[in-house]
Amino acid sequence: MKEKIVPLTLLFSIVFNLIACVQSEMSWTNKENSPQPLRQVVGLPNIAVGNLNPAARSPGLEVLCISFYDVPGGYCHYFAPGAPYSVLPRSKNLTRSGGE
Amino acid sequence: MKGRHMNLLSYALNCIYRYKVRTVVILVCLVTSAAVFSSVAFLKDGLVKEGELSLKYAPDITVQQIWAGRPTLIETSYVGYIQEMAGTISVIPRIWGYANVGNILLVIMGIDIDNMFFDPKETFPMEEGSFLSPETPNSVVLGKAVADILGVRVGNTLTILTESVTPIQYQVVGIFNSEANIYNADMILMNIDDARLFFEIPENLATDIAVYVWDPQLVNNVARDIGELQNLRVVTKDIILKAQETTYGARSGFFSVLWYIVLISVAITAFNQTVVVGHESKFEVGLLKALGFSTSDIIEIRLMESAILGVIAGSFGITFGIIYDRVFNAPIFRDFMLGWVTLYPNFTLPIHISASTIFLIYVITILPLLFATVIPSWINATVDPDIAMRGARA
Amino acid sequence: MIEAVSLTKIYNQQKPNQVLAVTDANLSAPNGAITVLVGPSGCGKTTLMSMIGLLLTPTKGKVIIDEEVVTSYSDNWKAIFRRKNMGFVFQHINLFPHLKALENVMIPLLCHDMDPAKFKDQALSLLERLGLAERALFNVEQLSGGQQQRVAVARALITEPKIIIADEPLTFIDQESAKAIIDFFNELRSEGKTILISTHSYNLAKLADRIYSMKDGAIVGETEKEGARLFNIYIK
Repeated sequence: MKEKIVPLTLLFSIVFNLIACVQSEMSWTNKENSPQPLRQVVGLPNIAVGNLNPAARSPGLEVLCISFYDVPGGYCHYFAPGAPYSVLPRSKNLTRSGGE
Repeated sequence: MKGRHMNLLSYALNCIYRYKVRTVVILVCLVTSAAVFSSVAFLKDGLVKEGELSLKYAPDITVQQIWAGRPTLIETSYVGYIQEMAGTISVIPRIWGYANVGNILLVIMGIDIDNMFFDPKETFPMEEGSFLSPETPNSVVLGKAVADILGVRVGNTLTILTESVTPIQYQVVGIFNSEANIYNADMILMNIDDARLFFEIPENLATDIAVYVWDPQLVNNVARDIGELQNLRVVTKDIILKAQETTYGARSGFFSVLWYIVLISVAITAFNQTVVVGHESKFEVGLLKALGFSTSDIIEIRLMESAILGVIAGSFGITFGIIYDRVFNAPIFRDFMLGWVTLYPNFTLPIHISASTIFLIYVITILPLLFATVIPSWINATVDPDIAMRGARA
Repeated sequence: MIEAVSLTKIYNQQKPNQVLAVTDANLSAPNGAITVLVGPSGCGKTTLMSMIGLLLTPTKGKVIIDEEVVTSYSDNWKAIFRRKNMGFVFQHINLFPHLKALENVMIPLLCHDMDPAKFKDQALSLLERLGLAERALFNVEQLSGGQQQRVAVARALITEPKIIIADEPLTFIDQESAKAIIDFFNELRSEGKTILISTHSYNLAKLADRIYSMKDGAIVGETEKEGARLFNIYIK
């Protein structure tokens, strides 16, 4: 029995992983295919992706991540909401009359 | 042929049990690194999925006004200009922002409940109460995590300080259920007029403008047209999606760097163990060759050992990663991935355990071990049996 | 017939610590006979035996077995040849300490395309012939040196090789075990096995159909069966 412990545990682990994978894939497919009225109404990109408010960021984490050239939510300086400044043509000094 | 391979496999398993210290060292290192990588990968995949899901319903274009190089409130007069542009379906000024409630930073979103295109009573996933309605001014709907943290339920009153530090009381009329957990976790919804009052934003200004385009292929054209207007910043859905992917690639890349360091050290350990494993293994190889095992048999045994260790480490690493994310909500890692000061204990992280990620983890745990084993095994196996046995004995 | 033709082994060739272990050794061991190699310690017997058994690559010379120049084989083919045709008994016994006696006997079967379990009875039968049937499931540490060597002899025969190469098989063992092994080698000869032994034991040399003597890495004498009487002269 002693020599069967590792193979049995391994088998359990593999089965557990497979079940978790199948369940996760099914859950996400379900979520993607079902209507999302709240997201539709609110219309904001995922809030939890990166809070735009600098006050939300942890100073300690920020220092640590800057040292690795990565800043949690640091893209916020350049990204809002979580996006870079537009790669489209820069706005020109142009006026436009309304109602035409 | 099949019989010989099974025999070699049983010998390989025996070696794994016999060289306990080596096995335990390699497994501990590899399981730890696989668990870390799995945990981060599943969390990252989940956040990217969540981001894609919410972006699906986000406006095609978001327009902000820039002043002195920083986003500021946008004049609602731009709505008219943008509405005239070819390709736009609707142009909606939005009121939203952040506020401190207690010591928690929350998102406050204004909803134009007079112009909703479906019946909220039938559509929104509410755990308690109901959605906003015109009949209930000064009312709010909260995300479940917010309600739990603040300890409020439907019927309670919530006092929030405005921009000018004036307290305003709001009646909690509804609490979202946990289906959209991460999306509404830090969110308070109120009527758009209430939001305008709260943020003290004048009628001619808005936080930003949401633009919907009738043909996705026209998005960039419309965005370019809007960009020609003065002092505006234009963000399309595609750009946000790429930013999300880059962000989480970079954040999870931070851990990947750590993980690669651990993996390389495991490979080096495996290499050392195979080369310098000592007299016992060299003698064993010499004796096996004397008894009729060929060089390829010896290498096959060592590769089987490595493959088995890799599968064990990968499997257990994935299992621990899943448990760490699902059961414990990924402490430490979620601080990096979400980057918030305040995290909600009941906040369930979105995890995506994809087949491709699992496959990648197995590849990464098995292949380096195999590569680290091949050359030392070949070196050991090609020595004359007599020299191997005598050298080991000496 | 096993033939060693001008076998030479130089360790650390062209280095300051070069050692000439065996020089130009010629030997032939007829099929179905016991050929014995005698000589003082350090004269190169083990090195010569190892070269003949394809366990050591000679610096010069060749080994011919049944008209095949086996020293020209690749490393893998040498292993396959050993697997099919040779059994070894080592001076230092060389059992796997973590395996039981029966498991040690069956180890050579793992590199064959067969289920070792089917040969369990054969392994037990060999141990019985060597007087170890009741100790088949003992760990190696629980056996005396002589018993361990008998297990090693059984291991050498599990694959039914036609050639047995035994390097000083009686060195570390008791008299009872030595007698058992000597008697066993006698039986093997009558079964047609070709046996090549290096030894200091007069009792084992007595069995020889042919004796070679070595000194300082070279074959210095050869005699047929009758010459066993002169054994004591050769080991000086």
